[in-house]
Amino acid sequence: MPKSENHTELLLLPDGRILAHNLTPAAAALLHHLDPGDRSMLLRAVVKRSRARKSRAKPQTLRTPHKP
Amino acid sequence: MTCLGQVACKPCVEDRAVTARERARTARGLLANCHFCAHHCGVDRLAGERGLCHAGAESRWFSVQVEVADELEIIPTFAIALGGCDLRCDFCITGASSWNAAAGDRFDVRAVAARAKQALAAGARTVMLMGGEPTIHLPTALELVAELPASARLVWKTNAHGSAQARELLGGMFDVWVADYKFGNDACAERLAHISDYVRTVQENLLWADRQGELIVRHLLMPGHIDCCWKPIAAWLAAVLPHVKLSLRPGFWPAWRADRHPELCRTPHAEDSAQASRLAQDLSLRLID
Repeated sequence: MPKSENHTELLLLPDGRILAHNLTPAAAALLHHLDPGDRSMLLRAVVKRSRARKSRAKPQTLRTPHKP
Repeated sequence: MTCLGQVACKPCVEDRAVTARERARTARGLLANCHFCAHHCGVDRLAGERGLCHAGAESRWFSVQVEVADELEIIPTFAIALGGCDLRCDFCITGASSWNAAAGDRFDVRAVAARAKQALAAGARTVMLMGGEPTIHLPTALELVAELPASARLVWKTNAHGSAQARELLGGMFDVWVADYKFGNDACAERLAHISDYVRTVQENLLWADRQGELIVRHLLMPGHIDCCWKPIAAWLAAVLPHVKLSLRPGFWPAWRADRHPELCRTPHAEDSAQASRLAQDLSLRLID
């Protein structure tokens, strides 16, 4: 089925781990808040923020994030 | 197979959009005798015939969005997932869409290109074409490239099961190739993905992609397949492509029809991932996050 909105799938494991598929920036930010010590998620949440800052520095290119 | 003649490598493709448009027309004609993947079905997709991938002349998408799950150097990426695939991996995490080329929405090249440009302007670093498998949709993929700005950094995410014909059409079109090397031997490929001559085909594609430009080899760690799959892959990379970037993916989950294979009914143990990483480090492979 085509996804009409941004979409991330999560698999919650009994040992507490969370696996993510199709990780969107919003989902990365959420998962980073749940486990700030997860290095992989930290890097993905940070890259999202740094890119957003770069966009803000160039207002002529600023766009509202697209929702498919 | 139709001979396309010599196709320029990336440094010679001065105007990517123009070249992509020309090749897209060629590729669409080649659907009449499809040899885009290594199955070489030779079916006439324009006339409604279907090969092993079941794809027709029309492409469809099942996911188009900005994602950050991929390698750090390419995220955030505007990821475009096309339906249909020429492999049949029982553990495919998008099996319902990847095994069904009729799934999803009709691919409107200009509409998707507009969304890609919007995402780039909003901070996406790359545009990534993936699937399923994008190789079986070469005409559409090239039409999309023709609509994107020359400055856009384009990623081709592939199963590395393309044909020589596909490679000729793709030469110089994408900045980064992210190529899966899933199975370390043909027996596992046959059993888990129902595919023959896998290792030779993938290695041929990887060697070509390495000459094209930036190549990231990706390996999904499968539980119970460290010795039979990961170790031979690691050894080959160390011997033949020691300079390429390697992305070890530890996030296997037992999706789709993985339960047909007892060893795939679980996620990898932490020790599996640690062992795999140690081997990569011992062989001085270029691991990336």
